[in-house]
Amino acid sequence: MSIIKINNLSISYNSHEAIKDVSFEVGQGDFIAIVGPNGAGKTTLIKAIFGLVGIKSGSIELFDMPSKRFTNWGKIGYLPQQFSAINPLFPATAEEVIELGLLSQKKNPKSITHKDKKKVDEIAEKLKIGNLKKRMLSELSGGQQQKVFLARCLVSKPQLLIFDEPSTALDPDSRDSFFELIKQLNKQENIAVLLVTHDAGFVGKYAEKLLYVDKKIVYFGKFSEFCKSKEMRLFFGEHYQHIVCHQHDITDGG
Amino acid sequence: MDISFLQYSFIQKAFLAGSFIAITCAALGIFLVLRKMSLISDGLSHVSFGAIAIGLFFDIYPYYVAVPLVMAASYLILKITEKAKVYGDASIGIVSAVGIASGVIIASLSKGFNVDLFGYLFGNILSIRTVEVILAVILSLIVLVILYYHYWDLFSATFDIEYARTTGIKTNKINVILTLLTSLVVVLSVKVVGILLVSALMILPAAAALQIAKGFRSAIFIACAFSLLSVLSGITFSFFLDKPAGATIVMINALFFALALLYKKIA
Repeated sequence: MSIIKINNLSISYNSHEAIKDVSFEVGQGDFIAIVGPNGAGKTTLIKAIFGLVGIKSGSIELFDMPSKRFTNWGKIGYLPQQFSAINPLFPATAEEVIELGLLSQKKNPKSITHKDKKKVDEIAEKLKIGNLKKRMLSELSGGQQQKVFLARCLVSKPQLLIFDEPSTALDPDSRDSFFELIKQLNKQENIAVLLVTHDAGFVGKYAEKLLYVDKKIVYFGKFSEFCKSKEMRLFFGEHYQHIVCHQHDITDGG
Repeated sequence: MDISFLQYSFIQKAFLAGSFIAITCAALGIFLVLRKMSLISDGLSHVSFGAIAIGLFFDIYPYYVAVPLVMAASYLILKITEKAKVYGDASIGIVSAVGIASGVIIASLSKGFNVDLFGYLFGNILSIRTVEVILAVILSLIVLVILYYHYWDLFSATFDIEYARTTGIKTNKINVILTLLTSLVVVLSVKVVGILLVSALMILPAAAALQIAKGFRSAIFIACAFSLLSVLSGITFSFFLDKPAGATIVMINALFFALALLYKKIA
């Protein structure tokens, strides 16, 4: 089963082309880093997957279903960019925020049942934030807030996680432990991960595939092959290839 | 205090209608304040001024004109913001100015009803009629049921609209619902505090609750409690002190807000 299948996707905003003829597939257990310069269309691509921007041509399938007809959003967990932009006055507890992750599986009038509370407890324990449940989100540190948002992503037991620049608000230590956790989920529970990031050099340590996009796809394949590719060395220059591959080498052995 | 005043039927009516309106305003107010949309209630109250003037001019019961017109105006605010590339606060300003201007023009066409129109500016819940009480209770219940029905979607869309969309919540629909409900509640509140003070009834209890609430649900409950207390005590004080009810209610709301601020500083 393919989780995401994108065929010849093009998207434009007011005659400005944001995505041009992009095709790729995400399978079960894939860990793909989407990398590219500013304005390369990375976030647009993510928005298109959720149906939040109009498509000019091409198609998107989610779990073997055309994305227009797809409704089972609980299968996809999303961690948005700039979570630190959340209104600091908002009076939500960590528990209430995690509960929002269960809404995609419900019909109006939605309610949070006893069973849902248990799911929230389980995921909070797993991420070691069980003790923070009743605390206000605004009282938590950046790393703790990130875990709450991750719990919101995971509580619906998704098969695909989509992260948009998840580490921008984290210090290096929290960043490392955050990505370790993601890698663990990816390996142990076979959850596919799609990670948009600026930091190709760092993420090579965790992701196995690289999707380099600059409006169109420049490279899609394994990190290890990217590092061996002469074509990529010519395209990006030796320096960039080295930056991307340096950390990958450490774990991959080549 | 002598509680025999509760026997008066005008007090009973004011308490009944006032309680429902107070709770509805506060519950809705939390969403508006957190979405930085609270001034929409101010803008829509200005539109209700124009609508009430039209009603008086054509000798139609003003609320029958105000409910549809204010709802239409609220929808117009959303559409102007969406289609005309105007910021939300600017489109509120545009629609509200047109509301006031049309009211003034219509008032100048007719010399007869200026006194009535003036009455609507300040409201008077102690003069509420039975039909208005029934209308207030029914419309409040409708608003509260719709809020309950969409509670989680409203919560999610208010917290983070982008994330809400990715969980399949139709946030445009939620915006329309919130705006239409606000227009209904604005018209209802005109009787309680008057056109000029409607927004206070929606903003103050919510703003006070946000100072001290320790969770979203608790914020809504605290706002409703503040609102209910201020309307009931406001009516009572205005009766005994012979002061205008609307302004008294707003001043008590402001007192709660000040106390909440103080509590937050100390605690």
